[in-house]
Amino acid sequence: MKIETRDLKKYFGKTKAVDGISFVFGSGDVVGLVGPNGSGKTTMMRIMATLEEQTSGDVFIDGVSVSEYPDRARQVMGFVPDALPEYEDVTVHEYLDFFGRAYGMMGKELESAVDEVEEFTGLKKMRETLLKALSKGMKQRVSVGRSLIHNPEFLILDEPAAGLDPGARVELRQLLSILAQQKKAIFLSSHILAELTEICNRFIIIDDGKVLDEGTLSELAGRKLPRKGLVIKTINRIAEICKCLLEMPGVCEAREDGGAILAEVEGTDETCSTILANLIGDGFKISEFRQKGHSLEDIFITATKNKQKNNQK
Amino acid sequence: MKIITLPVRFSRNIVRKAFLNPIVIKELRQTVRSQYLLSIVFSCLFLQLLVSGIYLSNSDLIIDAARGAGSSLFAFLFGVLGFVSCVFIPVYILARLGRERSGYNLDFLYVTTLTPGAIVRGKFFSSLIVSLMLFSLSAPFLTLTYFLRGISLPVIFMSLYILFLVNALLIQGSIFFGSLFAPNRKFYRIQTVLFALIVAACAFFFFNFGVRGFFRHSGYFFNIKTMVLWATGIFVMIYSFSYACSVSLLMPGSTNKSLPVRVTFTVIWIANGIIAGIFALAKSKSEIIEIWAIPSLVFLGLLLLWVVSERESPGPRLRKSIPVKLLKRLAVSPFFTGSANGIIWIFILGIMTVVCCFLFIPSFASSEGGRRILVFILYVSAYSLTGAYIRRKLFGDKIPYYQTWAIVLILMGFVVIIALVVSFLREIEVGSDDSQILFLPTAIAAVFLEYEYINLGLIFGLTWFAAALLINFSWFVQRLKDFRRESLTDEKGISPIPD
Repeated sequence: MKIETRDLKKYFGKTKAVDGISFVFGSGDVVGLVGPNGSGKTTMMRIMATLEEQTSGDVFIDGVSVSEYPDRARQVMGFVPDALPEYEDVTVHEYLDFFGRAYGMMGKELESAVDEVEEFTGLKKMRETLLKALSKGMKQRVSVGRSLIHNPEFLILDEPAAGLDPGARVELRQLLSILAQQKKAIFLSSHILAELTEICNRFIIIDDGKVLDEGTLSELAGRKLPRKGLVIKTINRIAEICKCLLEMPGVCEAREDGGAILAEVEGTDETCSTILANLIGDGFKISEFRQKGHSLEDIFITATKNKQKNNQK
Repeated sequence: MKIITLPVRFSRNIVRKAFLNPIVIKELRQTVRSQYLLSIVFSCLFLQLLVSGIYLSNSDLIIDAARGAGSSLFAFLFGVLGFVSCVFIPVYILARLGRERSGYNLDFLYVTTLTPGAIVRGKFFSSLIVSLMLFSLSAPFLTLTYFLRGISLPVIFMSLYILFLVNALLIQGSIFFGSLFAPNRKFYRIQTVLFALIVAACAFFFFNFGVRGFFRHSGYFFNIKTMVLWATGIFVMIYSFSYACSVSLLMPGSTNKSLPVRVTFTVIWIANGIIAGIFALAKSKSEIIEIWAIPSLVFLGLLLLWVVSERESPGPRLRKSIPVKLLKRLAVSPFFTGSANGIIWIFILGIMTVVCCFLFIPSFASSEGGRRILVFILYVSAYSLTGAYIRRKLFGDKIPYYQTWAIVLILMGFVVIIALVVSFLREIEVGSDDSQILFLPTAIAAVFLEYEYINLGLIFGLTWFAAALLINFSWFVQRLKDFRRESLTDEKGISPIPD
């Protein structure tokens, strides 16, 4: 399955909520949409889910226009909005059964679909519990279950972890990991960037309705944060090592931080191994030497700061 | 063979659409658990049991029974059933729909393949099943009144039938009311209370003042067959229009929201026109056509307020379904969402209605009713077009298109107030009683001018309507030019489509 947004625009009066967004991803991709509040994440997801109409541009699922054939798109797509299910006087089983019917399922097909979803989301024991009696985490499971009832190949999740406690987040992450293993295309947004890093294999950073950057974490880090971070631990002579490091080629910055040395290096992995060899050669006793990975948070902050700088210019 | 299987297939389709609708199943499951509804049903039964018990155990009333006390007891029991089924059930439906629309739950429905029509039908049929249950539970009490004399079985059944139709209309009305306003968590409560008060007040007056007399005299004054026929006809007409409006309101903004309303109204308009024509021919009374024409024109005038509040042109999703060929495009344009398209549709129906009147009723132009309705349609058109122009030119950014109707109403009110003030000042200053000539022609109240001044209203209305058409002409032409199939993904990119 290939999902493509092509020059997607959505204007609310003069406000440009989505301003020419284009990207492509496919089955097995778990794409994280990252952006500050009001950057157009929810609007874009709602357009993709056929709930909102775009001003121009389009979204294609396997070449089929979402705006032209919304019904066909809904058959292959599951949407989890940022709100939890709130039907009154309805049990978990009845809720899932209702949505199965709403997707046109009947009889044994419906029964097995509901059973499978209850099994997968761990709601089997709670199938006779009323929705209003569920915790937020359980409601979110119901919401994910509802989006899976028709076994869609493409899932859109808008802030699925919002308001969940750490335990519920872990459970949700596990569910999404299994779905990703099933080669579903997953597109999700979250404010908890550490969580996205663990689930997603690709990221799209947006701000003011525009794509700032996209790619895998290492691709983004390579573009946004070209310097490598090094963490060096030594038994003694920290100040001397810092001074020595700053004299080495490729080292841009070296400072002490909580008993360790943090250095920033411009160059490849070879540059790092040369630095280690030089330090040992100079007689320093190194107890730990490792590269510090860049977090999505660092990349996101750098990307949005760069944009602000460009705007100011 | 096909002829035999056709009704089977048709009825199977009806059953599947009506009762196997997911909404019906969901609603009935919710109903079974609803303490509100169960308490209402049991209260109604208890009240009927209590009243029947008191009535039967009261010896004076038993003596009364000989003189036909059955109708009195029936009227009371009927009132209880009517009040419960016509007030509490629609209010329950409205509250539930309002609550569902106030959150994100409607979004959940829109991501499925369930259509807005199925949602409305589901809500309607599930409520109807609850009503049927209530009616069948009350039936033993109501038929008991037959044995007390004073009321015949046909009257009992006809009354129940009409009450059931009224109940069905109120259920559909509550669905329409629930679909009318934008989802808002606080507002749905006000909306529900407002609806409950209106329906309760109507029901109280109807059952308190109307029913007793009706049952006492129905056997003498009303032909039961005619009554049932009329009631069914009116029910079908109001129900289908209200259903179409509800579906239209629930449809997403990107779809052809106006299509259900325009198609339904056009069908009702044609059907009623044909029926009126047949009756006029059979009875050799051309004035019967007025019974069709005048309400049609009044409705078209009111629909104009809706139409000018539509988006200016179809959205990108809808544009993809506009036919490419010019002739086809022209033919379908009145049935597409869009202010200009709607105005064309209303003008076509309006002009055809007026032409029919002029052709078939020789006295229409000179008749008082004819002139007044012409004044009404001219003024409503003039006000609507002027209101739409004012919104576009003065409040384009501040007031959204869907609030144009409010500007039109404010404009109407404003002109009436100015006219009243001017005429009042003149009366004080000059002491003249010519206020009718002075102020009424400017205001919508011209419809109520004294007959000798009605020509003044006609002239003023026609002039203003022509002026309103003129100031909107360039916009109108632009909208018609814009009404064409457009690809969303052309290389140049599309200029933003106006809201």
